[in-house]
Amino acid sequence: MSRHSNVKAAKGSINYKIRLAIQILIFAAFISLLIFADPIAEKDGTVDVFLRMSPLSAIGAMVAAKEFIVRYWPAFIVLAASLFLGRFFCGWVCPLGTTLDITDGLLKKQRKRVSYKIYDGKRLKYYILAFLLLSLFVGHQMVGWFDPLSIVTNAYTVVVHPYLVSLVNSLFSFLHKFYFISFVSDPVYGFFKEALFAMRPPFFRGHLIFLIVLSTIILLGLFYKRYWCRNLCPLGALFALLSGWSIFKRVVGESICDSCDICNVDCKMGAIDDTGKKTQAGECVLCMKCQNICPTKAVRFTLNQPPDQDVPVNLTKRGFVTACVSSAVVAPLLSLNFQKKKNKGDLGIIRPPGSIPEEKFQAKCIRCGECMRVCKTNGLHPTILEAGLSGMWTPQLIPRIGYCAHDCVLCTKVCPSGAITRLSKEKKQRLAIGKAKIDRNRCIPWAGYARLPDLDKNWEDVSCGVCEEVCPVPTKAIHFNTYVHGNGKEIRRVYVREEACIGCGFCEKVCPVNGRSAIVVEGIQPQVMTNEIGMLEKDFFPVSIEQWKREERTRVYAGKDKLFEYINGGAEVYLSYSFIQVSTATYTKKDSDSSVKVNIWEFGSSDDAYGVFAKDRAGLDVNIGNEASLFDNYLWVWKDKYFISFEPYSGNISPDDVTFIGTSITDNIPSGKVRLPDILRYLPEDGYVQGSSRYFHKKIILDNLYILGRFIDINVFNLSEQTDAVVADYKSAQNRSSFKMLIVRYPKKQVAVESFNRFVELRESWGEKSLKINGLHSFEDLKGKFSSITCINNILIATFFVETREKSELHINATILKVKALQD
Amino acid sequence: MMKDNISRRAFLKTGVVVGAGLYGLSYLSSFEKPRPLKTFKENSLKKGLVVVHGDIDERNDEGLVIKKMVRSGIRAIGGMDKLVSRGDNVVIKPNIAWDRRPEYAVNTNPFVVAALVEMCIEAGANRVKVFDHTCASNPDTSYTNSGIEKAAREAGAVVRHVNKELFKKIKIPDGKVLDSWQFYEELIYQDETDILINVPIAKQHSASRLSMALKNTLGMVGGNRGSLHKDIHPKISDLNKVVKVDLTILDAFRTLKLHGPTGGRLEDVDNNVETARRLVFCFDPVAVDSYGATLFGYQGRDIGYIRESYEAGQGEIDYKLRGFEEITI
Repeated sequence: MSRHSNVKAAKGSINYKIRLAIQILIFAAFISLLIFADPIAEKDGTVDVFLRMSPLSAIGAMVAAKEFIVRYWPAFIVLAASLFLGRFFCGWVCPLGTTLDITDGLLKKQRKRVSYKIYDGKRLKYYILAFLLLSLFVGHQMVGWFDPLSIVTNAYTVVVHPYLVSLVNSLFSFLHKFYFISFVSDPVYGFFKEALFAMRPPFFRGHLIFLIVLSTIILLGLFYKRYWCRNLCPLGALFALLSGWSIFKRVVGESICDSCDICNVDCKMGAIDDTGKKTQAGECVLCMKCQNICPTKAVRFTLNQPPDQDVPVNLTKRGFVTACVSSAVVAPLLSLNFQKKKNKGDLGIIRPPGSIPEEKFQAKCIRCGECMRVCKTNGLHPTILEAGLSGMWTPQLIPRIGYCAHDCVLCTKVCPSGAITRLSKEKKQRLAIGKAKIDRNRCIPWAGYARLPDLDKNWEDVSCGVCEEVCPVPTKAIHFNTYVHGNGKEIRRVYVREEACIGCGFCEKVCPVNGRSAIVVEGIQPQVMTNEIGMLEKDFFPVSIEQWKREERTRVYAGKDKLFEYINGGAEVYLSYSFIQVSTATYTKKDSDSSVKVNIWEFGSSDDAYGVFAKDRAGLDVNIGNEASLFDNYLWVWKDKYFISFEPYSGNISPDDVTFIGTSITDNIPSGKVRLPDILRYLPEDGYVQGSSRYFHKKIILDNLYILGRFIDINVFNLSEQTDAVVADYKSAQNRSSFKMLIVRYPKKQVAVESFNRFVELRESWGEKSLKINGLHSFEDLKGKFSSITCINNILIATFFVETREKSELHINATILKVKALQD
Repeated sequence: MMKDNISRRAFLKTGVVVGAGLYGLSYLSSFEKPRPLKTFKENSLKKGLVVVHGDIDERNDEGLVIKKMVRSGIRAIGGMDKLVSRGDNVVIKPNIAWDRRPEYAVNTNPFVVAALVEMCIEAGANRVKVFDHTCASNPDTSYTNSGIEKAAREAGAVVRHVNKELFKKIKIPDGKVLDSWQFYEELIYQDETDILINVPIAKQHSASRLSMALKNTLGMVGGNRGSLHKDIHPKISDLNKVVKVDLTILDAFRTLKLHGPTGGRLEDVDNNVETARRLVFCFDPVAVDSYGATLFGYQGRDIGYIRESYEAGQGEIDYKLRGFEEITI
């Protein structure tokens, strides 16, 4: 441009067109970055690059947060460039400027009709700048509200995009109803959806507020073109202050210019005086329009501007003082935060994941709305007064509209100022941004009836559990407790395991209760990492129980191989039940060397956990878990599918100590509805010794139960994991001798019959006398005790060591009756 | 250039004409063309249940193994050409409910979907659509992360997100607890689809205990789906009275044993040859579910909705009744 030494020869139009082309390209880039923000952010692209170009918000965020933010490097480049190029940013780059150029063009006709003019005070923007910068030192960052890049990002995110999408959506769904149009319109609609925007209609609270702001900025164009830029924009003011050393200044060839007034009228910034020769350097945005339209081609942009062609800024002392004073007054006013006061210092709103602590967050957040734009579930919305007046338009998660998607970290990737820090997916998935709380007065299973649209239905089942279903925490932060109502109905009630909850709000979003959700997430600040996910067992061991402290290391042994690692001998016993894992921890009493070792064994079913518990049961029954027994200072507990053992490890441990720890840890373990293994119901009550039943599947357990007086090598009863078996002791009232009873249930009848035959053969091979009545075999062993065996359907029943044959057969028959009654 | 001023007469005239036109249009739009509901496609498939076993190792790539399994399974029940005729519109409904990758066993295996798409196209289908009403509010991530979008598209299917506007309220004949519900247009009308293939994954589910073929219907409906979770068993059965599934393929190649339906822990995924690593083929969803329940140690009767559906006559709970075949690849 400056190479045109001869004013006459200047091809003004070329410069103007270059600028126009660049401006359009940059604007297109800005819009594309907004439309395709999700995929670009996914690839770690620089979606926020425009926002980071603003030196105003760079200064604002850095001064308010009192730290240097490297990410703002584009702002420094722009700032440095402005030293040489003046306000080129306003005329060439700024998307808000471009937007206003477009709307000003649309308002051209109307502008001509408006006869009166309003105050065209170019110095206003300097006062606004002074106001904003001063307030930074008082401790409030209000720059974001006035930064043109924040405004324009918000404009397209909060207003234009949602309105456009819902317009397109409603138009095409209207057309869809007419089948003679829909076959054309539907594919077009499909194209729009696929190609342009994902078309999930976004929607933001407060969009009306921003619509008013935006309309005001646009409608001021009725009076003057680019009213915002020339009179209000603090960023423009900042650039204007630096424009003194610009190498592109507007120079008019005085001899050629005939003062035709065209440029003066058409200058959108009002930078040219009435004569057309003088220019306010701080106002000129280098749009080159004057060069383009000058009939005499008298205008050019060059370094050497004659001093008399420059019009300086005319700031008044009074205006400046007013700005500073009002800033000093307003800023403290903003600190009067009603919300904070009301909530005892904790705002309780959910900030996006990775947000820095509240105070700094408000200092750094430049209110640009970029995080809201990329939020995949449309869950981030601007605050209005929730964060206090000073925190207006900062992002807040509203889970009822959109939850924080488990696998998404987009908002953390687009924050220009670092108010939301970068997070890896793994870290984000464990970062708690809030905690869910259940409102038991609204929750369906808790309240016991449905707050649903179809209330009049007569429900048979008030279990709900949608929140549990969607909980994305891999081990679930929401669990069930089964409660059996007086009328026999089972209700699965939900509760939240707070230490695992990450506050994503999916539960709040899906809660089927109408109106306010029955499960509500409260934001927590600062955000904290949850306990290691996947270590469910760790949650079972509280860090401390009153004066008992857990030793840091808890260990988990999951699966067969690991179990052998833990207990080499005897592991088969546990493996004969459906062993899943065992976790172990040690608790030490404060100021002593007494410690207790706790093992939590998890099994595939509650039956098996019961089996392990009953296997070596000894001592007193105590009321912990489903069943428990205390033997000196050893405690064994059965609860649901867990078998928990507490044993003294070192020092003096009293029975009270283990009972205390046992109760605390057992209460911590969630439990469903539990009952004794089915097969125990076949045992006749008459003479049954309480607590003597041993429940098992495999031969290895039977081998340790004394039923035959000798060891049998072969698996005569065909025991396997598919068989359920029980051995119980019986005692008759008259004499003190006891006998035993075995019941085995097989998956198939044939196996039961085969086992029966094998057992009879075995006894006969021992040379014992036998008597057979209707499929009931009785034997007399060498000690003169009697033993009977029979088989009914898939069940084998046997007695051992009975005093008389009659009694033995009587007992078998009593069992047969029970089996028949239960099986029918 | 249009004249800027209009007369009072012109204003009234155009006002009346435009108003009447718009009203007429919306009046017209209130008359919807009565559309016949989809019926079961006449087919000559075998009525028995086919289970195909297969396993992967270093030499056998998952994609190839599953493709082979699907092909031999479909061959065993008669072949795809016994169901799909030339020019049919097919909808394949996998489970893409959650935003998780395939190895977590919460969404249908993408290779199963892709193999089915291919076979439908080979059998002469006019158009194969694949979609699911995801549980995540933004289907985008579920479609991508599950791998189904890519696999199905490469196989030649049209993969679309569900359009929330296109749910139609349909009366449920003999509904036990539901009178009517919102169903997705593209699944229930004859002019949209000739054949509906349901491709669920077998997994543990908190509310309904297991999620398999019948439960996958919840991805075909709209409305307040959360409210369906109360009294869920008869409701699942009711929904299946409207949806006419022609063929069900249960993906039990990986099953989720715990923390369903969302999972997220590889420890909870079952990759055993004994209880997983298989695909189940049958025209009858109840039989498929009844078989699937055995993989989790239940009987079909233990699961409320399978029993309800059986009692409502939607299928046979004894999965061996009409024939049972096991194939190992």
